[in-house]
Amino acid sequence: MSDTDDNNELFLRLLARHDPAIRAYVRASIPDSADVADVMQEVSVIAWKKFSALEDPETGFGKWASVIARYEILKFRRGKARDRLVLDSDIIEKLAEEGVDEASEREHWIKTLKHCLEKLPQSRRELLMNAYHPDTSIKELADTVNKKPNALYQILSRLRLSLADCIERETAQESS
Amino acid sequence: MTPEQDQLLCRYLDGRLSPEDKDVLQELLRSSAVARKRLRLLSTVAEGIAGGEVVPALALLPRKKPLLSSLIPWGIAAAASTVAMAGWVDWAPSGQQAGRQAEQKPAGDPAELILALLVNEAGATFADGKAPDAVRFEKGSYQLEKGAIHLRFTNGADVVIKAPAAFDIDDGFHVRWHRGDMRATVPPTGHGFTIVTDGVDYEDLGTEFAISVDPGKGINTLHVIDGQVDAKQPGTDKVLSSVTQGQSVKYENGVLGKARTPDLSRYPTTKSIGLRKWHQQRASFGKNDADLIGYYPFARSGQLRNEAANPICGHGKIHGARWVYGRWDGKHALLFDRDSDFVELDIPGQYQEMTFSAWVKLDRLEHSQTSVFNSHGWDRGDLHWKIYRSGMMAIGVKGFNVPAGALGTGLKRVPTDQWIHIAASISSNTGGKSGKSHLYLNGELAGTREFSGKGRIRPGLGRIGNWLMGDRKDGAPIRAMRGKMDELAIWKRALSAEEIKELTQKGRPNALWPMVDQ
Repeated sequence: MSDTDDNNELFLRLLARHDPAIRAYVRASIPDSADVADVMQEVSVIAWKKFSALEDPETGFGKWASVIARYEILKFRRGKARDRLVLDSDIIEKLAEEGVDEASEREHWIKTLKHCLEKLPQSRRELLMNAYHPDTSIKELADTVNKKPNALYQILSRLRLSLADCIERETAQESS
Repeated sequence: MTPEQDQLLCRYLDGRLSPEDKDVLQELLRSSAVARKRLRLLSTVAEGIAGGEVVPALALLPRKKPLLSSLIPWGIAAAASTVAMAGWVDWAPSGQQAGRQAEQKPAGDPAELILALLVNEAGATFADGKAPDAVRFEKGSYQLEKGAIHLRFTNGADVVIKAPAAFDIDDGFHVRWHRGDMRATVPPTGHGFTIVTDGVDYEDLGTEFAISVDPGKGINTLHVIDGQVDAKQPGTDKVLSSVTQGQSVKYENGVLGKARTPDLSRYPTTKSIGLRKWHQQRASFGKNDADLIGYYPFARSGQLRNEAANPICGHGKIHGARWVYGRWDGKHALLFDRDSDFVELDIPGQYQEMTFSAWVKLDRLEHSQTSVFNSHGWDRGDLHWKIYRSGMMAIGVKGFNVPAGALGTGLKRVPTDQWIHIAASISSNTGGKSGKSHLYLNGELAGTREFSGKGRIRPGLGRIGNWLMGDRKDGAPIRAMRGKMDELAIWKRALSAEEIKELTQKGRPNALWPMVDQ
């Protein structure tokens, strides 16, 4: 296998590993998942083009890709300034800037999330997994479980908040 | 963070902010680093739940070479062979085969040792010492004594063989044919695939052809169904004859000459093997099972006939749905592709337990709910087995109450555009035991649900592939199916997971399904 092939494989492997964390970082500034997908496409193409310049890929990929994502978030924000859901640019900049430094912490959150998900009752876990499946519409899911969409959103919010609390609790215990 | 602030962050991530919300949120995020971090954590939770299933960014990246699996189904098939073997053990016809399975395999990538895979079979029996290793054919001698088999070679060539037959696989491109009939369909990746016989090498140039070898008379014949095959002097490149579409040649007494077109029906096709196997199973389906109250093999007729030994369910009345081919050419199915298409079915009586099983191929899930079988209306005891547009399956009985917010389907979603096996069992709440339903997709448990409330299951009159709402008001009044169904069975007991798995294994379209649908 040539050096180029090795490099290709390494890039694909690192991108696959860090994709959830980078995507989560983008989502905080851009709540719409279709927009997140667009930004992620740009991030992956730019990262691919610049990958050969990254000096320590194994340890530095997450933060390096977050820097690329930060630039793409701000670029996206400029194009969507009038969108009802898009936050003011000063807030986006703060969210994105602080988020770059959390790259490794975010990966830890994702690992801890799996553990916290396992603690949920099966029916609740299934409800969440279905709600966040790419093909699911909340309205259809609400029909399935005989709920009004707003009531389902409330349930899902409570579940997500309980998972966030679980991650914070477990992270605090590990560091104490 | 207050609970209200947490809810505000969630509404933002859900895209449900009101203008007032947005002002409050912006102020919060502008002033509080804690809130900003909490938002990033909540977005990580949301993405972490959804993540791991799709990495679309990878699809954009340039690849140095195409994936093998995108060229030919073999790549998928080889990967699936280990899985397929697990389900194939039931079929293994002889002690010889079981013995070979127990042998130690050389180290290395198993896919490199396999030259062909058994895609399907019907009543196949091999001679001792000349059998495949489960579904895997490696270099060696094989002797098919009974039945028929469908092999797929590493180069993509599909070869269908009818017993009695004897052959040696030398490598992925050379098969030495000693006896019997075979039909081969060879894609461009298999050009050069050669059947070696006594006297002639038949080299494929991209085609479909049939060969018969009769060692007793010293005769072999070739008929080219499509494309071109070169008949060559053994072991050389000397072309004795180029045989093209519709032509036949015969080798006899050391001479190659023209021959009459043989009766092509003697050479089985890939699909006819599955059909042959299904006919064998149909004859014995639930023969000694008094709990089987409805078995509908979908044999073409003016009505959907119940062939169960204890036929409590009625024959189905076909309205609009049309007869087409199902899992295999020659196996009939009903096509439901209009809102007016359905089969009316009466399931009289009342039951503590029931199981439904069906083979379907859904084109799409057009309506918010698709009926597999729905009792008319929705009165006490009525049963609805359905699929939501999201692909989630559910079964319920009016009067059986479900815990709030619970899902019955788990994470398995019903796929479209491929033959699938779906099944559902449901038990009522009796004798201190809570009621329970189980849903299965392709033989695997897809979800369970517990019920409170008592009562019996009384499906009564209902529709396959549709729903007669009656005078109810309902958010999903139209539940018309878009797709085909080619088998349905109904029991008055709850089948076990093992029984459902066995049903699926017996009816699967081929040995590599669901990795390879056809």
